[in-house]
Amino acid sequence: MAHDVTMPQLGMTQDSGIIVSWAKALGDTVKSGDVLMEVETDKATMEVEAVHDGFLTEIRAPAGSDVPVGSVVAVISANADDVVEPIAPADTQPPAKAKPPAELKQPPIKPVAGKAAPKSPPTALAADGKILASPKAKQEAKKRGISLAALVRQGGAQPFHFADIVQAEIHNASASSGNSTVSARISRKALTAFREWLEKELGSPVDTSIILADFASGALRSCGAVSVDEPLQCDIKPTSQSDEQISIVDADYSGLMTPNIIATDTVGKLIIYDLTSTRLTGFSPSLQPHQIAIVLTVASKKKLDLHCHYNGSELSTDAALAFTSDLAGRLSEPLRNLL
Amino acid sequence: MREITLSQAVNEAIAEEMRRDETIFLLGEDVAEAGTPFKILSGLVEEFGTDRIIDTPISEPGFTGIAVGAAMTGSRPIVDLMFGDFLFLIMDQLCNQAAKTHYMSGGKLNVPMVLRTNMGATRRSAAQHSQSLHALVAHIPGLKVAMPSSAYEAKGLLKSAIRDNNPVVIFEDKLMYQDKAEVPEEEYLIPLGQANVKREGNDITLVAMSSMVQVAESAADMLAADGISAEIVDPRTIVPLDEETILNSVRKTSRVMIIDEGHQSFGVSAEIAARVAEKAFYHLDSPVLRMGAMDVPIPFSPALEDLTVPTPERVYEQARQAVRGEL
Repeated sequence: MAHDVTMPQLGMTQDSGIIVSWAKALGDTVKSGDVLMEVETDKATMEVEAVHDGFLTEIRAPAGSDVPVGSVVAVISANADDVVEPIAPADTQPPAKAKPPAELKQPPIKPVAGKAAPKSPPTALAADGKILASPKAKQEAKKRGISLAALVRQGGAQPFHFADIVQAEIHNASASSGNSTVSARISRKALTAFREWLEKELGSPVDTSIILADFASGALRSCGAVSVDEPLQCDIKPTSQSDEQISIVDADYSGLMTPNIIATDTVGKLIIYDLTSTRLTGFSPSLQPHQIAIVLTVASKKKLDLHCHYNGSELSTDAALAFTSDLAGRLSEPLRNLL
Repeated sequence: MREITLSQAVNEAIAEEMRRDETIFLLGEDVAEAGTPFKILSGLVEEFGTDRIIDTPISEPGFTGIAVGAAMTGSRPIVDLMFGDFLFLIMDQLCNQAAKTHYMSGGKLNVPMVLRTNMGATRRSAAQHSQSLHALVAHIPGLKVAMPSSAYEAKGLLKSAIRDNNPVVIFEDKLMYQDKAEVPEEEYLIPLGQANVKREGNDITLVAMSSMVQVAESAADMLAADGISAEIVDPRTIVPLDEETILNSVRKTSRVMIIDEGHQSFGVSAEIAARVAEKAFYHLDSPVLRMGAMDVPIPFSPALEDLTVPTPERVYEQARQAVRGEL
């Protein structure tokens, strides 16, 4: 009989923990209630006790590792002979099998560089757990869903300023794993013509993002990823410092004329980045697993690129392909979407 | 456009208003024949006579009291207080009487009086003739406080002050009387309570009044050489204070430094800093900075005196650190 030891959730907002040290060595006898390891979160360092009797037969995350909550870090087995020797860090990733169409990766358990010393605290957190950041940086981190504690763990110098948060998002985006992307190229003309027609009808300017939110919400429901009666929040991300984020609920139902814009602190399932007014040609946002990001960029004078970023564990490849091609179809023939 | 000195601008404002409204008269020490030690008022007695340009004995509480009484009974007096430092002599007339008469009379009496005085160090006038005491006046409800930063502001603000039905104290920087600026020939007024965005920028807001606007401009030039763009906001009057213009600028730049020639502690810079912290907190990306005069009596020694007031170099140094996230 073997029991998995997982990274516990020690705080409400904690998404991972650092194993400061192991109190038991491989093969040691373990009794329920024995201190097994010391875990550091963004708030405190805590001892974690074993809840099973047996032998510590496998340590999957060495001291110094930053491990997502719920991941298996060790195994306690009734049989002392089940001991599994640790594998070298380079081999911790499962061997690549036949690759799915878009790259799917499990988040690997990575030792945090230079933070393996067991007894010295591996972070620059103050004794009271406070993280120094400017008010604007804190607001921005909250808005973008960036953990300041994670920045501390990455070795960022405090106090954090606005620029550090922007930098962190770019860094996280490039380092994020588990996300996949489907891209499509669409005609720019149809969308521009549609927007101009709409502006004429409404007599006021219309943001392309609002159209995207409407169409993407509809496409997501048609591919079955979100059910017909499930509320669907869509966040339109600002692409310049002067803009504010807009959140719309059920954009496909409330329609283009009267989008149901709400004030909220929660993050939506759909995220829209309209980068067509920038020089950016691609961007992979850091996502929570349930989120799907739509990024629109300029490909050429006549073409736009549509990128759909999603997490493979939440959305199947088939659904993602169906969703993206449905959305590309709606954007290429916008009037058909209305009929 | 023509350029005139700040002193000529003040002279023009008084003359134009006195021609327009014969209830206006001016009184103070050495204002008539001598034309004040700064020669600001020369020519006025010739035009308006000694009934309307009145030389008084050395008696600040006396002539300020006369002005307050005259203002209550239908005149519009302009008091010339030779040095800002003499405010301490007229505290009762100004703060207990002029500031409170409208309130104490249940609105039946107004005190449409202007008190012109000066501020500013580095004139080698020593501790009792070099102070910048505008914060002291701004602290008393019922008094308006204007701080012109150039000849243009001096004329426009003074004309508005003379037409205002409340007591207004104007602080002119005594080192700026010979500074020239473009001033239109035609009549104009600058409303009390309307700040001026002197220069637009994105990285840090420099709030500065009176001669500190020049300090901020020099500092902004130095910052620009480093690729840092500073926005300069001149409130022009500290009571009433155009808070919205300051806050909007800080919301844009996320950083602010307030530069004032009054002593730093318990001063105007502290008041503006507090309002920014209260009302634009979530837009701040660096600590609210302020730079006032050192909390010491202004020294006579030129070498020491120059150290006590804000300089472009020191403003530049601090602002640069703020923008670079080094604070």
